Amino acid sequence: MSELIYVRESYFVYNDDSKELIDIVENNDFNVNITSLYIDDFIDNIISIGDEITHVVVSINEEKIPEFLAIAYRCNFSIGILPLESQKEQIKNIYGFNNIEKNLKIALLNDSKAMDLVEVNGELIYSQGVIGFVPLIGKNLKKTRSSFLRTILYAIKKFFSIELQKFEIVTENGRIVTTAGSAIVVLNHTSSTLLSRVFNLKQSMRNSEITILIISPFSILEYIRLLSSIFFVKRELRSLPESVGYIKSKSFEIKASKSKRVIFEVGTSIPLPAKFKIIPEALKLSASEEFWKNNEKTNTTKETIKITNLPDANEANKYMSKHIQFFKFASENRFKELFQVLRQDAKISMTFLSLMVLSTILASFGLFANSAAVIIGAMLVAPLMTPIVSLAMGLLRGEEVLIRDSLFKIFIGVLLAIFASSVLAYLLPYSEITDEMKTRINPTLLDLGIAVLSGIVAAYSKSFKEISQNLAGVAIAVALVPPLAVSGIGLGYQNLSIFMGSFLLFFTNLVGIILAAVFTFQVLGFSNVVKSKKSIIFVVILLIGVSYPLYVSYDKMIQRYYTSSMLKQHRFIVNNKYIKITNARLIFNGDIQMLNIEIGVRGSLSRKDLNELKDDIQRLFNKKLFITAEVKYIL
Amino acid sequence: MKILLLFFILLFFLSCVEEKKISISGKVVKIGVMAPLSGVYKRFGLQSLDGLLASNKIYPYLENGDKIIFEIIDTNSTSSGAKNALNTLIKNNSKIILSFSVSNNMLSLKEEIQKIDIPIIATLATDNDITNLGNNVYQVCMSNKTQTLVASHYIIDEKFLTNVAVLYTKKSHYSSSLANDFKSYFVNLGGNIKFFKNISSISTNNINKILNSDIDFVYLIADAKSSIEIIEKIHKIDKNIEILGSDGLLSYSLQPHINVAMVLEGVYVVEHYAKPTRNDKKMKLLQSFLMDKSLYGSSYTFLAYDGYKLLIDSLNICKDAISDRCINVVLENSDVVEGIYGNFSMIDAKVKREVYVDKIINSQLHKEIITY
Repeated sequence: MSELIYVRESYFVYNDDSKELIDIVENNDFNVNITSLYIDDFIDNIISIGDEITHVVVSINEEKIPEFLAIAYRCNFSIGILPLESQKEQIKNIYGFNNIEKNLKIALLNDSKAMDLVEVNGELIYSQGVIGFVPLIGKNLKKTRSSFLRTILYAIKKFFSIELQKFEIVTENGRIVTTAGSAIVVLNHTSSTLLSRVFNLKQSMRNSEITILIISPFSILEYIRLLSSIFFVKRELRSLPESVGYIKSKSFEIKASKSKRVIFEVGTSIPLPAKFKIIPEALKLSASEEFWKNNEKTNTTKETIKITNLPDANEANKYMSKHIQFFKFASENRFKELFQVLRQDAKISMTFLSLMVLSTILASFGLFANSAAVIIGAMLVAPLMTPIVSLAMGLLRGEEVLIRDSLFKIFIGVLLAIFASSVLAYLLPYSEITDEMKTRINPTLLDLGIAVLSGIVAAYSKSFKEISQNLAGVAIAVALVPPLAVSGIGLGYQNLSIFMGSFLLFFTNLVGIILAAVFTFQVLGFSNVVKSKKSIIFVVILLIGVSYPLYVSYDKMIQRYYTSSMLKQHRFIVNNKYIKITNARLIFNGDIQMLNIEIGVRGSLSRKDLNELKDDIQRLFNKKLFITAEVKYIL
Repeated sequence: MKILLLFFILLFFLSCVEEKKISISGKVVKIGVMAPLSGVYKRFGLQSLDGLLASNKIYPYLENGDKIIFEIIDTNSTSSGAKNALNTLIKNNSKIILSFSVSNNMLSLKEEIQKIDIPIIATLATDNDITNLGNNVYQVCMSNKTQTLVASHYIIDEKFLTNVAVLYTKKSHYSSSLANDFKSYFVNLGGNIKFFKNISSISTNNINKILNSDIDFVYLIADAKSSIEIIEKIHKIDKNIEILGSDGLLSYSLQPHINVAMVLEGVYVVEHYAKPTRNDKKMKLLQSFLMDKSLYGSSYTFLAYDGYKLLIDSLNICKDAISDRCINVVLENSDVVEGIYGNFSMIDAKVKREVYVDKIINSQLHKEIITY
């Protein structure tokens, strides 16, 4: 083990907070001759003493550090640092101890190594700088609980005022990067910063380069995700988050469309545009071996540019000065393939027309035969879902061509389906309304709920390549063709109530799927930067349009349920005859409510008994009902 | 925010809108009450009186502002006591008489009743002939005939059981007449009465014998004390046999201060009410009045409330022209009276109301079937 060599003489520069260290430093165990000077005196006298200084041990607060570093750089003396109580966390990696004796030992070592400094517009900086606005990331958080909470609440409030601005960055090698983001963080060129550690940027004080981190969240949700990865993920991230990019270079020239200044952690600021330049080996520092191990000297001329997650120049122009929304938004370039597929889906093709007719006929046969299996088969081959998903995307992004094409395709598909099934119903020699048909003529709000979920699944599966585009479950759940077929059958039977009921079910499904798909696409980040008011109005009208009839229908369903269950629970005693109602069905025919009941009774019922039963039922419901009854005798 | 504030202010004022206010006239209407406040049926009388006084707190005045006051006479649970009570009330000019007497005491008043036109509302007397005592007698509780019908059809048509043992108390008019009515109706429906026993002469051996024979169901028509003793004995031998109790008698046993809950678990009861009780303002008021006096509602309490409400409604309809004739006409056929547990009406002087077959679960009466 080699013997440690200490400097022969040194200045000790202190301030009010560190003057009690004077005795310890002056009476050091390493035979170093110490001259103690108050920081202000040191600065005032630097011209006269500058030439004779070879080493300085410094213990001062942060505001004075840039000035001190500039002096050290100019006068070319080496420094050792004795951190103040408040700085121990930040500077401990230089020494690794909180022990003053051990730190002094390192600070007086005659083993200083040169480290880089950053100069911004001619001024030396040593702290992290921020251009723009990044709540919670840009500034140090206070430690006390109340102010920490206050900071968090303030930041959450500020999430909604985050906006993107255009940045133009020119690197040392002349590479021009134009992008948009909420902020650029110029990292203190040490591996100790939180951001450089989390994003695994492998910084060194001796690698002759500056790292800038560009934060470009497309939504508040994305920003929250970024924050959680910074503050709650303990380990280093394997890949950069979507909303972050970084560049490493020897110098940068940065212009911002909105921000006027670079703000540094210590509270100082420098106007923009700013030129950041690395000054290699600018400062000689005495530090621990571990510190130098973490800051090994490298000399690379290669620049690193990782900006694939960031918007390009075109997008940057679009996003400029826009507040980010809660959900993500995106330019078309980001999802080129998906939009190509959706545009294709929105166009009418022979395959679509053929499949539409075939699936409707198949569904109609299934309905006539009262066969659920055949109807499900028809659902699987029905091609209506694709233009609906395209329509949803068109509405979300306000793309008129996509809306027009998909609406036209849906319209033609619907017409074809109704035509095909009505002709079939007209030609077939019977006009029975099967149970499968009956279940499709009384839609309720529950059907809207089913449609909404189907829409979510449909949009979700469309958005991810890894999910099969022909999910059988989605096709079955969406179930658009069977109600259309029933509508056509209603027309064929010339029964308007069947047509209206089942068409309402189809329309419910359609609206539900569209709304859910629009919402799902929005959550998944497909919405456009520019909102289309027309689209929003269209969606709202659709929702209102379908909600009222469904509410009425749902209300009727509830009434039917309660009437039926109440009557089934009641037993009537009419003229000393015990009567059970074994089945009850309430039918709404305009304003008239008809009640069909099945009666279970032991003896015969006279007209008087039936009239009294009718009175009892009406008294029970407190309303006028047209009652028809079938009598079953209990043996 | 302002709109929200205005909305809440509006809501507050709306909630403060008072119900139709009655201007007090200063006059009084005297209602005669004959109740068994002593003797064997003391419990029925006292619980009915609780219901009456609580309902009077809810409706102390008629719509014309006349105050309702009571003259309450104890019948001592005897026929002679009932006669004395009735005569006293007639003599003291009661406008209407509420009777909490049981059937046999009421039936003994035929001669007196036929001499008067004062309306008499009977809340506890279940005998089929109560309304035949005179044209001025009205029955608010279900009759034995109704209870027979409900019990018989429940056993045969709902439980699909036919072999029944009927256990009754011979010395009780109510019990024996109901048992006989049931016997004839049930057999007529096709059921078999395998045993028809007076429980005062029944021993554990007899119960053993009954349960070991081919019976599906026990219909127990007895007072609460005797019923509980028999049920305990039955359960010791066969826990699975199903038992149906008669109205009111068992509901008293479900009062929180009587610890027989486990014995009665699973027993069926033909009742005037069921849990959950109505969750409306009137029910809450009634229950709060009862709770203030550490009392608990039972069939008798609720029937007294319904009798009082019927009485109030009829007096309100007749308004200032309060006459026996008007009240008798209204009481004979009342359309809808808002009872404490459900609406009821009067048809030919008899009540038309919901009757329940309840099952006792966790010491509460849970409805199985509602009979209208």
